Amino acid sequence: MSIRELKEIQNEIIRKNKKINTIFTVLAVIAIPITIILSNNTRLDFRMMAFFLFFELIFCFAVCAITKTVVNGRDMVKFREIFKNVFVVTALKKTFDEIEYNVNQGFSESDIDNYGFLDTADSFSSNDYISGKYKNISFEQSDLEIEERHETTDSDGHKTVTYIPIFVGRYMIFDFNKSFKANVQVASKNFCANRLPWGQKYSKVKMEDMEFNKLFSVYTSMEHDAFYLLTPHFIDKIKTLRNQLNSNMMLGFLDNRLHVAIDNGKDSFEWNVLKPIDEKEISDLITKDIKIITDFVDELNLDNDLFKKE
Amino acid sequence: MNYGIIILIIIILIIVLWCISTSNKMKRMIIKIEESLSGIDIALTKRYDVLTKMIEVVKGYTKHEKETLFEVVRLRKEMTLQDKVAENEKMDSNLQKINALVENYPDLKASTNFLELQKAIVDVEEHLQASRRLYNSNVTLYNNLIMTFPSNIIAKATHMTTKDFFRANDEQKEYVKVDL
Repeated sequence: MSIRELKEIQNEIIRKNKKINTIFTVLAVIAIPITIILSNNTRLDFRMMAFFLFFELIFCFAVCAITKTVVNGRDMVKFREIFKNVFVVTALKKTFDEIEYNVNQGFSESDIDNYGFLDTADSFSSNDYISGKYKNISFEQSDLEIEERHETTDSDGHKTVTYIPIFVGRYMIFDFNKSFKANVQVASKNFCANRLPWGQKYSKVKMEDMEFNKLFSVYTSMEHDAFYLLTPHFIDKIKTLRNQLNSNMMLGFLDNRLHVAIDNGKDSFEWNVLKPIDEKEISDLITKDIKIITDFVDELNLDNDLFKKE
Repeated sequence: MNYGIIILIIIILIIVLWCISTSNKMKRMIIKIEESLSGIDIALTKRYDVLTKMIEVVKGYTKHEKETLFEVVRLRKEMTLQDKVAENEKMDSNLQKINALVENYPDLKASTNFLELQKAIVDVEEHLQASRRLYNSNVTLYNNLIMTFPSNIIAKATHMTTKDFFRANDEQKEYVKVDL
């Protein structure tokens, strides 16, 4: 399987899309004069006629989009499979050891609930599960999307339900090189719309670094462990990672493991089916997504085993 | 009752409640400072224990050499903060001597027992640094409270004074770092 195969599938999808677009354009063009004629015959006023025309166009557009998805469904799945199982897996194997990659699975909602760092709210989904070792440090990661249900009622009493994302990004877990008793959470201000189960349970600690205190809130059940884990050097590295990622993030220390959640609004290791295939661009995209994992191990020196008890 | 008197009573009540809450806040902060000071005591004791074991191991390897003079460290109950700083500095000095000696004894440097102790001392140092930072952070909050208006009025009335920081000789600390 190769770039050529991806291009072939993409061309097939584009060809089918062009056909579908032509059919629906013709249908829309035919529908306009028919609507005008029928409106005249039934003596509808101009406003009603305009409404019907608008409705027809929206309907055509929606049916066109659905048809494209149905017709191209199999090709799109094949494209995604080749992209992930060939390109992503090959790149992952080059960087990591003992790699395990599952495109359609991720962390379970109960796992995330049990960790207690994020509120799983009303809708939860996860995919792109990866586990492996980097510099002999075990890690696992997955994409997460958490949404909150909002219900609004208009003046006529009609209810509208919408789901608003409160977290879209990565959740990673690394083996940590220090042993600690208490659990500590470091979260960017406004992270996850401030829905932090830990923040309600434990006390807030202020570190000596004013800039860090402006960017992050620290919660813990034992202040000593917060100062033990968050050394001045470690605090500087967290600030560096925050600037590099330019996203809200959370670091949680639990059971001698480091949990990291990055709310970057991105679905990692994804390539738009209709975007022109460029080998270098694909490689850059995958490398960038992999770098998020390696940066945490490298920047935070997680492979330093000075504190590890044999 | 006259409205003026009611307002006066309310104002006095607010002031009394503020005085009580500020005084309680200061007392709670003193308790936190004492707790964090006990954290320093624990870390110093651990450091002392590991260092004593290291000195024993080093003495075992260097017994044919003219005896190296290690500083005598005495950790007692009821030590002042200055005493603790002084004993900590003696431990820094002993660790420097160990590091210097180890360079002449490759067998000692490679021994599993000594390597384990070196790892242990690094972890103990991290705990000591955490305890020191937590203590100093609590002292900063407390000192700020009792030095600034209007809470300084309560501090003066209740004879509360500023607390000293636990200072570490950073230059020396840098030198004491263990290479593994």
